[in-house]
Amino acid sequence: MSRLPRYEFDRAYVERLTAGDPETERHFTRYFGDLLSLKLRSRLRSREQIEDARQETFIRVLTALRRGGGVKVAGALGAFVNSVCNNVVLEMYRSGSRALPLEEDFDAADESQPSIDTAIAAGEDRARVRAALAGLPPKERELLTWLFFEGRDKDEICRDLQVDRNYLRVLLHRAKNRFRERFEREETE
Amino acid sequence: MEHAEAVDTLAIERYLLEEMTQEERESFEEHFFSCPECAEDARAAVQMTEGVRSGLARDTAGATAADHGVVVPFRPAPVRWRTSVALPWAAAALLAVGLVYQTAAGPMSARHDPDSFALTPATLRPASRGQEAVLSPGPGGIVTLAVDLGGAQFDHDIRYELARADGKTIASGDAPTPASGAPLLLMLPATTLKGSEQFVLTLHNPGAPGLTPTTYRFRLRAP
Repeated sequence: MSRLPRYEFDRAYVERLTAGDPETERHFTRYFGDLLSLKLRSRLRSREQIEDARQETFIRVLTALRRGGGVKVAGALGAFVNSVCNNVVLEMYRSGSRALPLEEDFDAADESQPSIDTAIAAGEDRARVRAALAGLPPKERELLTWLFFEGRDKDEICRDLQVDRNYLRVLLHRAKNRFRERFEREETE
Repeated sequence: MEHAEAVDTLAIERYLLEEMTQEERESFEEHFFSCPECAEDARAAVQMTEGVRSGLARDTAGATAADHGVVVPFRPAPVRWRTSVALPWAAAALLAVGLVYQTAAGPMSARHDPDSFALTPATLRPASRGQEAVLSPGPGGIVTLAVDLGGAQFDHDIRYELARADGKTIASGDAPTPASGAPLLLMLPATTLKGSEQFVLTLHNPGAPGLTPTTYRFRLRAP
């Protein structure tokens, strides 16, 4: 994720996107790609399903824009993307075997992989992410590892740290803010 | 959800910790898709969590052997809505372009014209099948392994560990699980493999630590 300016999506942006401006499309897919990943991770089991849903969402949004539909007010672009994604996920659920909700047993054949372009772009960010993580205090790094790498039970983590769930949120909040600060600093250095 | 509520209730943290009800989650999603401030926070959270899930937070020095490019895992390019198991292998062949990019641009410092670089991957099959591959380095002194997963089950990622016969680990890391039927591709500079004749590659499923790891044995052909 390159640090991108905060976007209040305006009519000019939507017009550029509709016209197929490459730079705007690139921004659009990276900006919403991250948000869609976050949203879809809690709904779909495999990375391929997530990637499929992301691509399908982008295609539908861009198609709708180019057909003159979808967004009447530029500021509603985000809401429109979210809404389209909801539909895509519902359709994937209905399609059965290719898209399983979280509660189902995992389809071990995770067919996910990034495209080469995506992999290269991801590689560019990887060093900054790694540096930002390396800059965190060891305790915060350990907490993040427990939560998101090892997938440890959160109550167990709370017991180990002798904190309650409210304070666990605070610890995560601090780690996330410190990560964000360092990640953004990495970009400017 | 209003912005003030999202901030006051540490909504993104609760979202990441999966503490929200479905209604709350949907409400917060509607919010962060429309709120630039929360969107940036969410995007930072994505980078952080994905980085951690990739194993980037495990090493205090901030870099693992894999990150240094000693071992570069690769997978085939995606084929949308794929139903055939043959396609991943074809995609794996196409992946050579991506491998070349990494080789030319990465820290392994091999320099080749991408248009003329050929890969000669050697297939590794699980040791349980009694096979031990004998490999020769390819162009640029690169050993390319096409690891047959042999039906082993992996969740989102594969944790791999390459060790000498004496058990000393040479490199380790995590790679996303390849497409069904496709091999896991690993590139190694042949210099990494010096000093021992037999090597053992072990693949773990981080999501199921109780499962028996899959092992592969291979030798490097003497020059």
